[in-house]
Amino acid sequence: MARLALLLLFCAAAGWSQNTAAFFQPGKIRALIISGRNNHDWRATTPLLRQELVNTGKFDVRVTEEPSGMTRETVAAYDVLILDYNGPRWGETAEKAVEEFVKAGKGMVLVHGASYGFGEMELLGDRHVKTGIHENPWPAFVVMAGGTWSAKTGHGTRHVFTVKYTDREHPIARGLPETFLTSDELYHRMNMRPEAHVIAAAFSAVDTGGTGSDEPIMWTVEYGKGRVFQTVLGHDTAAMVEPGFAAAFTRGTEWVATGDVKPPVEKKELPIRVLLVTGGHDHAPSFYSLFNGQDDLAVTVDPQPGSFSHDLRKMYDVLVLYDLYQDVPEAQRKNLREFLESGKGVLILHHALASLNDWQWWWQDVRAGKYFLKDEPGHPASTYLHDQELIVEPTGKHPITDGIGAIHIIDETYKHVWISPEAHILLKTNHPTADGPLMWVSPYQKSRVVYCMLGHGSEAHNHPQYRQLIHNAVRWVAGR
Amino acid sequence: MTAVSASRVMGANDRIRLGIIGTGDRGSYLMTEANKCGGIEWVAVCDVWDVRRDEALKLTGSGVKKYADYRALLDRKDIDGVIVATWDNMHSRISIDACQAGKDVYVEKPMTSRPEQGPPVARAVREYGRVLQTGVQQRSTPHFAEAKERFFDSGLIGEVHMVRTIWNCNSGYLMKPPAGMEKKPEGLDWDACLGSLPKIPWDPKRYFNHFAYMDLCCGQTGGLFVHMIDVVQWYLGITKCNSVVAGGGIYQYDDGRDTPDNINLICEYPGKLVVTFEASITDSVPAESEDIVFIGSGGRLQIFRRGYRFLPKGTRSPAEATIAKGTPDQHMKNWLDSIRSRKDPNATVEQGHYGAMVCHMGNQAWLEKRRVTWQPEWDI
Repeated sequence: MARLALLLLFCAAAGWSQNTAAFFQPGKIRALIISGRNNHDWRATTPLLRQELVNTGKFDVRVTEEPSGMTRETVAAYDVLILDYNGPRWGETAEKAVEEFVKAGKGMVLVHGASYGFGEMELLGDRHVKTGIHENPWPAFVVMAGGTWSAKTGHGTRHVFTVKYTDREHPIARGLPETFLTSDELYHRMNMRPEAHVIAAAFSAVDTGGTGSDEPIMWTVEYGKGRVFQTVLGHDTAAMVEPGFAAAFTRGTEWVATGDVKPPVEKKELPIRVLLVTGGHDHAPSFYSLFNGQDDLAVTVDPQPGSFSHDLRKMYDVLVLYDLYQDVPEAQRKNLREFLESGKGVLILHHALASLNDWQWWWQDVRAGKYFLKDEPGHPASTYLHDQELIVEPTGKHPITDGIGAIHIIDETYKHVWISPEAHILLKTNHPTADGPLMWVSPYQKSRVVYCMLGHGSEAHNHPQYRQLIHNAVRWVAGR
Repeated sequence: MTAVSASRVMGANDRIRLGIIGTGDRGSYLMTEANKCGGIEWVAVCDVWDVRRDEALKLTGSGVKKYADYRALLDRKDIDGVIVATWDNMHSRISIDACQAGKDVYVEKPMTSRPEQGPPVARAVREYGRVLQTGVQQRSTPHFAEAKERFFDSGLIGEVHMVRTIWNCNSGYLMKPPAGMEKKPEGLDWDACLGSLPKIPWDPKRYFNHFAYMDLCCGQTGGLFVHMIDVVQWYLGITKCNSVVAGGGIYQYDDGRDTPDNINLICEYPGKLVVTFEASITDSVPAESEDIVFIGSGGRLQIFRRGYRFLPKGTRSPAEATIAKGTPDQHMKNWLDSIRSRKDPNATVEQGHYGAMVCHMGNQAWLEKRRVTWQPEWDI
């Protein structure tokens, strides 16, 4: 503690900005995307650019949507600036700050419409609206960009064309295939400066409204000690999810920040293969978003009937059941049983508490719980109520509920459900319309089986704590 | 350089259809010059002030359209060429728009009010194949061409390593607003005057003494030096200036202006050449107020609009000088001829850029109190 205090004192004394290490993910390249004005759909493209960088595992990304008035302090902590911007000039302080930032050895990435601004063109507002505003050009920007729009620049209709790397030795292109197809706008007659080093080009066909010549698509510029990378690709999100664009953009950003492109970050573990089973009960489509963005899972949906028609042991590590189905034929029950007996586990959710109710082994030994769809001797029918405001609390410590805490959630409750006395309860509620226990670990020995009652609608599916609960449960059931 | 293209092929007897944007004092003079040349037809006039628009009609005759917004004038399909005589801050914007609208351009000097405006104008002219003449009329004034041939092309003046340019006593920088202008006239579009400059309240001093304000008209460098340095660059075949230093300030007329009333520049060019400039409004001797002095190993040439005087090397007495009188400028005629022939006019857009650039470097040197060197982004 004393050493930390001394270090901070030293930093303060040295006048260093505190805007560094403690606030950024260690070992990552720090990128700042500048956005907020663009005749293109920056509200959709900027988050996508951010996500593409984050997905590589190499970048810690911030976004600023109000670049006017930036100072040296604004950009000091970053390694690279990315422009998804064209619009009014930023003012002398901000522009000088960016020029010095690049000159000193950092750099800038320009995407598509970023080459349109700060030059001689009329400002365009949202959705390409003409503003009638002409500003004086920012001369240093024109030099840094290496290529900007002038009156003769344009593009034909959006079409699919081939981009070819003309400098395959460049770190951005090294190891990539020589060409790729992409659906985008093809800028032609860019006003190129002599310092621009073109690394990729495309043929601009006359019948698409082009020039009949090769046009530059990507280039680099050395400015002072710094680097600039520009790609004319990226008209909209569809153009940006093209693998060719994404590879060039992320590698270009890495090259600008570090001068090199390293191999992709290795994934530390194989993804968990999940079979997600639905069917037999209506449900909100938000349910499928539970697994979005969780790249430690590889999820396949196979709804009833027939979900268990194959040898599941070979294909999956975990089953997640969200179906309400009774008529599962013998052969499929066999597959299901063999899956569990091989040691692979199951997460059973919500209304799947009423599936396979005639199969005693299943509901008594495996699921350790049963929702009675009708009165049966010795047990009345269970009941349900939608849209209850619940306070859900963990009972004791468990990896599944670790770090989640109490949950305030709108969800459906079941009452008069049978629960095995040997079930290990994880979550409970005191709500009068529920029995009490909401999530448990089954006493089944041969593999891990977990049941969670929560998860009727989008209030649950979109709830961050619910999502984390389910993710934790899948991982625990898979033995991770 | 590619051949310039015409919007329509003009026969020898066809009249050139003209528009004018900016019909103040200079605009009126240019209209008179155009009328003298003949072979023209006025189609439209434009000015931000309705009074000036109406005045202009006295020079065009009736039936001519009046516009407050230059863009509406440029939209017309029946105009071949436009004369641009607005304040300097709008020269480049209007010239580019005119080129894009398919019109040839006569634009007053300086062609640009800021360095970064130059390359886009040059691009527009060449890409749209237009004839653009900048208003440095010395290039079409016969005794200037004669002196160039006599003393420079012949080699008579020898090696020139120093040129002095002098323009004192210019009262164009001492214009006072007429009485009653404290309130902005109703029909005067002040915002349009300012163009892309920051909007400020009506200021009659700025409107009437506009030459003395940096953003509007670049001061005595952009107003006066631009003519002289253009002659120097023409005669010596030079373009890019390497560096400029400046001295001077607002010494006598601290009346709200932001350009120096006393400015001195030293400009270094490649090829071992120095060009100086001096301009002071405090001088009161009009007879010797303007001059360009070429100091060469073969002699000394003094030249400006009133004529020239050459003293060969070794001359001891000024009485031995070769003298010639001044001649009228034919600059407007040269432009109109170029519109027909599609050949480059005498003062091209590239020369306009280089001439204006030295002035901008000089202004920057004075404003920032430092030596300004040529930046690559100013290349064309």
